[in-house]
Amino acid sequence: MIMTIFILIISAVIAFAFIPKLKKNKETKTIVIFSIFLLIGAALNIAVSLRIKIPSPLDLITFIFSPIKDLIVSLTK
Amino acid sequence: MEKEIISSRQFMIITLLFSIGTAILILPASVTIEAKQDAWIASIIGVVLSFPVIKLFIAFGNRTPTLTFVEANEKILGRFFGKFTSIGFIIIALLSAGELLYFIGIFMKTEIMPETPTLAFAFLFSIIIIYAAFLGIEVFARSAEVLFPIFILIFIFFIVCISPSVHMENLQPIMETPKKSIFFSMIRFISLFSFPLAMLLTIFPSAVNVQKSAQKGFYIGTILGGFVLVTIITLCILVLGPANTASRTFPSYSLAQRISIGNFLQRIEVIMATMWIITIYIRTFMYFYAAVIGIGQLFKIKNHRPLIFPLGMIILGLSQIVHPNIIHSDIYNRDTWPIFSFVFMILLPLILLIVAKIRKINGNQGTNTKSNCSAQNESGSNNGNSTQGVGSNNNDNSSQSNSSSAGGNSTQNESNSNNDNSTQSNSTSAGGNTTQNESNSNDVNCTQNESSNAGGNTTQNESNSNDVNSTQRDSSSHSENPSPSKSDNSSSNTTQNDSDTGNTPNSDKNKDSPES
Repeated sequence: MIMTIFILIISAVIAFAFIPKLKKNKETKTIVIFSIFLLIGAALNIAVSLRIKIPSPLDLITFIFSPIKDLIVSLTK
Repeated sequence: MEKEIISSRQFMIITLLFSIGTAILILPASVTIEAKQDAWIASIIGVVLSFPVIKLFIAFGNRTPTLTFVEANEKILGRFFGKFTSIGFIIIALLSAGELLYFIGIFMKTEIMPETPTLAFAFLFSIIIIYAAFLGIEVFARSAEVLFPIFILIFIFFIVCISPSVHMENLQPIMETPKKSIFFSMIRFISLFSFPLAMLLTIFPSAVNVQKSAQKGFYIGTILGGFVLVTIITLCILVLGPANTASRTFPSYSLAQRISIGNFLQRIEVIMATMWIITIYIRTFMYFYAAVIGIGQLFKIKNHRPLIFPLGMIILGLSQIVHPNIIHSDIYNRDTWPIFSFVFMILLPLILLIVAKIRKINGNQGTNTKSNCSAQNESGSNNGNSTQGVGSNNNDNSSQSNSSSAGGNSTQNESNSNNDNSTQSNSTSAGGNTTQNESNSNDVNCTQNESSNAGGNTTQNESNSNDVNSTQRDSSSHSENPSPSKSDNSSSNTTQNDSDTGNTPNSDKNKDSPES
C-alpha cells in the first residue's frame, strides 16, 4: 500500500515537472502521449507492487513465434 | 529536437560494448549446451557470419543517411505500413530493455546479494539509464569512451589471472559434436551477438559525424566484441569444462570465482563483474534510447525528453514481469528470441532495403568515393563534432568550392571525381534533400547534419563555402554569407527537385530546427 502511494507521488511529480512546460509550448499531442505512457507505467508498477499476477508479454510473443520455431525444428530433423 | 552528433570513434566503442552486452553473461551457457566442447568453433563461425549482417545494416544506412530507423520505415514503406513495422521495432526494443533490467537484477540476486529483491537493483539501474537518456546520446557516448579503457583493463587482467587454471584437455575431442548442434549454437550466438546491432541503426547513419570511418568502426567494433566473446567462451570451456559451463546460469561469473593466484589473490569476481555491468549498461541504454527515439518519431514529437520518465517507469515494471523465473528466460532466449529478433532486426531491414531499391530511394548514386576523400575524413573523425569535421574537410580547396557552388548542380555531380570534398558538400546542400542522397555517402552526412542545424537548404550552401575560409566556424552563423551563390543554388534546386520522389524529411527538419 505504501508502495502504491509512493508510485503515485512519483508519477505526480513527473507529471508536474513536464506538463506545464509542454502546455506553455502548446504541444497538446506530446501531453496526451506523455500522459498515456505515464498512466501505463504507473499502473504497471502499482500492479507489480501489489503482486498482482500479470502474464508476461513475452509469453504472447512466444505464442506468436512458436509455429515458426516448430517448423524450423521439424525441417532440420 | 536538437541534433546530437557523436564521433565515429565513439560509435566504434559503443558498437564494441553493445555487441558484448548481456552475451558475456548468458551466452557461454546457452552455446555450450548443444555444441559442448566445440562451442568455440560455433562462436567463431558466428562472428564471421555477422559480417553480412553488418553489411546489410551499412547498406541500409547508406540508403537513408539522414534518417533514423523509424523515420526510414515511414519513408520507405509509407505512412501506414511504416507505422506497423516501427511499432514492432519499438516493442522489441522496449521489451529487451526491460529484459536486460531483469538480467541485472537476477544476476545480483543470485550471485551477490541473495536477500535483496530484484526490484531494488532494477530501480537503481533504471535511474542510471533514465539519467543517461535524459542527457542525450552525446553524453552517453562520452561515458562509453570513459568506460572503455576500464573494460579493456579488467578484461586483460581477467585473462591473465585465469590463464594458470586452463586445462587443455577440456577442449578434446575437437569437432566431435554433430553439425546440427553446432548450427543451433551458432544461431543462438549470432542472435544475441549481431542481430541486436540493428538497434544501432537509431544512431548509425544520422548521428555519426563521419560516415566512412564509422562504417569501418562498425566492423572493427564487431570484430573486437566477437573476439572478447570468443575468448570468454573458450576460457569457460577450458577452465570449467563443457558440462560445468552448460549447467551454470552465469558461467563467466563462476569463471571469475576460479581465479586464484598463489592462494592469495582470490575472490575478486565482483571486480570482474564490473565488466558486464558496463556492457549491460551500454546495451540497456541503447535499447531504451531506441525505444524513446522511436516513439518520439512515431508520433512526430519534437522533443523526446518528456517521454523518458514514463518509459523508464514502463521498463522498470516490465523488468518485474517479463520473466517469472530464470528457466522462463532461458527457454525464451533459446527458442523464441532468435526468431523474434530475426524478424525485426534482420528481415525488416532486408525488406526495407529491397523496397528502397525498387522505389529508387537512394542514398549514394555517386559511388566514386575517392581515396583522398576518405583520408580527409579520417582526419575529420578525430574531431568531436560535425562542424569541425566539415571544416577540416573543406579547408584544402577554397577556390574550387566557390566556383562549383556558382556553377550549379549538374556540373558539380560530374566533377565529383576530380574535385574534392568541399565541392561535394556544396552540391549536396544545394539540391535539398534528394541531391544530398545522390552524392557521396561520407560528406553527405556531415553536411546534412549541418543542414538540420542550419534550418534551410539555401543558407547551408554558403555555410559550407564559408567554412572553407574559416576553419572551425559554427554553422549557425549564416547571416554573414554572401548572397550571389544563394540565388544560384536556389535556382538549380528547383530543377533538381522535379525528378524527386519526395524531400519531406528535409523540409520537416527545416520546420523543426527554428523551434528547437
